[in-house]
Amino acid sequence: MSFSLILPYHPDCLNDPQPLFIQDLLELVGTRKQICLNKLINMATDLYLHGQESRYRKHLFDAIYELKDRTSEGGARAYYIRGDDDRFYLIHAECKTETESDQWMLGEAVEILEALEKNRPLFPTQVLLRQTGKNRLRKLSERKKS
Amino acid sequence: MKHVQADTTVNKTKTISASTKAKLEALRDKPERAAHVANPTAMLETHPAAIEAQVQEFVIASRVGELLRLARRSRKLSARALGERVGVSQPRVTAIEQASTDLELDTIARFASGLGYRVVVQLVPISEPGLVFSTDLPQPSRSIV
Repeated sequence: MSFSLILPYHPDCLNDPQPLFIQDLLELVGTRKQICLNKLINMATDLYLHGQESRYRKHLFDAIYELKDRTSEGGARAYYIRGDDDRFYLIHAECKTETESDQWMLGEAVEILEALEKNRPLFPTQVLLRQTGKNRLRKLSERKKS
Repeated sequence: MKHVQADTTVNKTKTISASTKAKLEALRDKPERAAHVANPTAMLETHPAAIEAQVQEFVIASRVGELLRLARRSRKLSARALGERVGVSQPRVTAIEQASTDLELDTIARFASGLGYRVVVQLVPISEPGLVFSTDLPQPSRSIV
């Protein structure tokens, strides 16, 4: 059995070229933290295979969790939200030497949690679909009027 | 011949709003739970291998894009001028140089040709000894150098 992973965009940045989690991994590429990058991909794979039984899992607060392990380049951390649809929403990833989690990343996780629960779009395609839906409704109402 | 290698960096501004900070503080002591996903069918699933592939594709595209940017600058050409040479818009040139679009081998060959370069693909042994294999990508016929 495996679990589902989702990589959402930030609801206010749906035009970004990649989801947040990928952007963070690319930042690690830029800073040449290859070991940490590999660890983050391994931890994401572990979450995919074992879900909440992942050995890297740690609860932070509410529905927000982290995957955490040490590497020679610093602590590898991935922040995620556990959904009631048995899926995991990977939000951010980082590699750092400080012991505390990145508050800005946790802030974005809180914003995405809110968006998930309030049905705000988290993917560029959702906006397109909504626009298409609205256009259809508008055309239908125009037809009815005519 | 002087060789110039490409690098990859991503810059981001990180600020946390007062309202998000307040929400974060309010949630600090909340017990473990699963989030109620309002519209689960809209969520696009991925696979760890796809994550790895996406990173790898970006690394390749950004290294090639950076090489093309360095070559363009060494020719003292603007992105617009290069675009005119290869028959694409200035934003398309910028997108390719910044790895924000998919990059095909023929596009690399066309851009290189527009800059007065040819593209050589080389297979170099990593650790075990072995032969080096290389080939030139064909020069596009429509390029203007």
